[in-house]
Amino acid sequence: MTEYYVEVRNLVKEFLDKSSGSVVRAVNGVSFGVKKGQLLTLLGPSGCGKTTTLRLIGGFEIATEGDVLIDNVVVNDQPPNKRPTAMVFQSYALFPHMNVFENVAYGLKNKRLNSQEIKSRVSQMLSVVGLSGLEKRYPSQLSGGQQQRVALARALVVEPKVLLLDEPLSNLDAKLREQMRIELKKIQSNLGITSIYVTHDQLEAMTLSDMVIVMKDGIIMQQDAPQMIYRYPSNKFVASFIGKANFLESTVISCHESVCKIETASGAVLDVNVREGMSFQPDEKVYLVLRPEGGRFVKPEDGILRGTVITKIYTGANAFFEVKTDHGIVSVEIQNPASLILPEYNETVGLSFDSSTLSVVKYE
Amino acid sequence: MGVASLPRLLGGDEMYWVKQMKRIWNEPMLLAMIVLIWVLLAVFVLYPIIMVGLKSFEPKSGVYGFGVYRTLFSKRYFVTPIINTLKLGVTVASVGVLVGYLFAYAITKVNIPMKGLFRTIATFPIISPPFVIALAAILLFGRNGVITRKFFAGIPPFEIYGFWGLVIVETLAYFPTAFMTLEAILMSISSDLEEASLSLGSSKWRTFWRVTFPLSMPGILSAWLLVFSQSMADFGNPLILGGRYHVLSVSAYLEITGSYRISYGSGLAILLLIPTLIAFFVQRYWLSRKSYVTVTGKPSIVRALEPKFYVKVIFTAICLILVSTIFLFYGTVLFGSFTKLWGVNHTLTLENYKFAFTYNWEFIKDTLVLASIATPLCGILGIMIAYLVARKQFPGRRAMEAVSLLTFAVPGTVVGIGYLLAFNQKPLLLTGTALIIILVFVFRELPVGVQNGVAALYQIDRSIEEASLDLGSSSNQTFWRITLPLLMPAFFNALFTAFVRSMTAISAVIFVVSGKWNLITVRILGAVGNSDLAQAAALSYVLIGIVLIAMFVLRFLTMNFSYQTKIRRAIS
Repeated sequence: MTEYYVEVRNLVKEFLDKSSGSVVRAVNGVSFGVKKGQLLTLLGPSGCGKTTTLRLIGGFEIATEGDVLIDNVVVNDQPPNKRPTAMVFQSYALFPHMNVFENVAYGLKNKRLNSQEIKSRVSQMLSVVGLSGLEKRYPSQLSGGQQQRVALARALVVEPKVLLLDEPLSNLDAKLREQMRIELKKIQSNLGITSIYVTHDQLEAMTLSDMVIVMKDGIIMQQDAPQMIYRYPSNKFVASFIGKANFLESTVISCHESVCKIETASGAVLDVNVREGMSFQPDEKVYLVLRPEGGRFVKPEDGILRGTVITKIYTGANAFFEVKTDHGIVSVEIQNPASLILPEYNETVGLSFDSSTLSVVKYE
Repeated sequence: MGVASLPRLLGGDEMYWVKQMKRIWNEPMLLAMIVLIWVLLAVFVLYPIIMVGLKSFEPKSGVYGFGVYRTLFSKRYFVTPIINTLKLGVTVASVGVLVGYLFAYAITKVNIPMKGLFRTIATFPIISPPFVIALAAILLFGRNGVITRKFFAGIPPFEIYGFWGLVIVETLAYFPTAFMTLEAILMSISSDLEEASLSLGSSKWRTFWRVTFPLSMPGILSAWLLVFSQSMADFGNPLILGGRYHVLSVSAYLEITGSYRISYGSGLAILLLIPTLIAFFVQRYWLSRKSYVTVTGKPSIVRALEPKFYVKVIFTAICLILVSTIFLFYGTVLFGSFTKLWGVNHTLTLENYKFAFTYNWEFIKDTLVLASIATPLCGILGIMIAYLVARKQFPGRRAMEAVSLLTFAVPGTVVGIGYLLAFNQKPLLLTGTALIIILVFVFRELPVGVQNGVAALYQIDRSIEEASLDLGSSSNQTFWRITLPLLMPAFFNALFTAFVRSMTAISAVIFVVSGKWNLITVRILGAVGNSDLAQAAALSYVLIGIVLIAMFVLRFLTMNFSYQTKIRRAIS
């Protein structure tokens, strides 16, 4: 028995790359668990193995090595139709020859429920996703957002133990995506359904998840709650993939409990919080992670960096700057810019960063 | 991404294979289907062809060696047809592709009038019996032909029996294949590319030679090889119109049915098989990969650029000439079917049809019965194979696809001789039965179903089926509830094509017909042989009539049983 409802142990998936004849490890020893009722996100750039991992859990691929457990049962040899999972596909995969009702009822018919029950459960689910009244429509007559809801309803109505979502929002336009994101979160937490969500959109991952796993090249880079991932990225890749980041080469002077004193390449000495359990050696080379939104302008002689403004873009809610320093170009984002007096193009400025946004990662 | 070392790879692969097999074992239906299809393909596709090969190495019964081939390559009597066939194939392919390209270019890229009409007429030769055009040539240019009599005082302007006659007839019969291949290719060349070239300062002429033409090159080669194979394999036209110009298919037939030298017939058939097989594999596995045009599923934008007036006139004229020739040929046969005695007495009469439906009724009935039995079997088997090949993972999948498409490449003559050799002894004694004709129909037209099915399956997003599995349907249930309904349009299309091709087939079935079970096409050839041209014409039109009826049935089926119609109804 484990504390997890869904668990993946040392999962490996190899593909034969036909063009080169070599074996490619799309998933390379991935292990994680999801607690009951939680939503876990697999996040990473394309080709990182996140979708393959999801498909292994759903049973659409056969794992080269490793186990998938759902509710403490090893499901490795179960085909998809025997697994207690339901998937929402990126393309929605609605049956084009069936109307909305038939699509949603499809999985229930496989469970041999009587038609009365099917009818009531379908209409209940359609009202949950806000599609009541569209039962007779065919997928080709629905908008993208509506198709998305049908796909979600179809997966939810069979009451799976685990809901799998493969980039479900990626085909929607920006506005609709934002709206569906919020709605999805509401439905998921109201129903309390254990979910695994795949996306390459970090914003989606941050808003939806109880737990985020960042993957790269088939390997897990970090698994943490969203705020922890953002606050304490475990390496340079995660720091730049989650949010935006500037990196400044630095050297550790000393560490005491969860605070390290470091000296930056620009000569500034400052204290940075590090995550409990993380340790750096004195004289170790590290990167100081500077979040653009933590930056502010100070007098050139103050601050940890100085440079010249080379870009100034005003977007309304934010103002975006690029400052050319001796240690590379540093970007800075100022929120609510109307309330501040901001430097002009070509002006020499000093840069300071809010200490709660600073973190340190290993040099690589 | 990690690359595993070799030993690990082998170990892992073996494990994977075991896992794959384990999944197949878990689906006994699937396993049974794979085994069944392999048995059918082995017995009815591979075995007959192998028999032809073996027979060609057995000059005399019980004696084995290269004797047959030594004779074939040394005796003038045999060498001539080999050279003739290749010469005819190359000429017809070249002329056919030129004509097909002009026609396809006119329809896709030059904004000519009456495009739809031209297109329809150009596809006539595909759905009609192949030798109707040869028949028309005789009615027009033969010794008793109208043109010969009316314009040349009874002396033929040129010898229609022979090489040039065959070139004309086969070009008309097979250019539609080139046209359809090239039309697809030209359609897929986005006019954005041509407009880009124009905007960069190239003239239209230069744009054609530097952009359009190079991009369509793979299609041109492809079309050339297809027409070449068709001409090589043609049997009906050379038999009627060859005269003293012998080609391989006819020679093989005459060796077997005339001289009873089955080994020599088999040897000739193998010589016919080799170039067509090469053409097939080059076209399918090499050229198809060379194509510059990527099929994205999104239709590329084809706007016909408004051409100069004289260009339009030239292209329209070319199309008009071609189409009127086709019209003239088919019209002549139609007219011929209503005349008393062609060339002598052109009084209109219904006698020929009366005769067809009384004395030749048996032939019509047999053809209809046999083709109607074979077609659904062929369609179902084809779709089953397509499904396995496109959707399932199992060892030998690619080989299954290649074998099931093989009969496309194998000339009918080879298949016919193969069936003759393979099924004339127990336990598979089928000679003279209806079953052997049905089997020829089924396995000869099998690729139609497989190709249609595979094409349709590749267009159906795989995750649609995965969604069904995911929601608790077994892979069997998924096939019946999801895949099959979506495949219906392709299935009906395959049925129609298989039916039409079976109705009009000649080269393979001529070896397996019997006194008891005979076919219209064979009867038509007989009528031409007896110079009963009017009867041949009438029977040809009976065939065309049946094909047209089949077309309406297809329309009806698609209208009533495809999901697209259901959706359209729901909308309105």
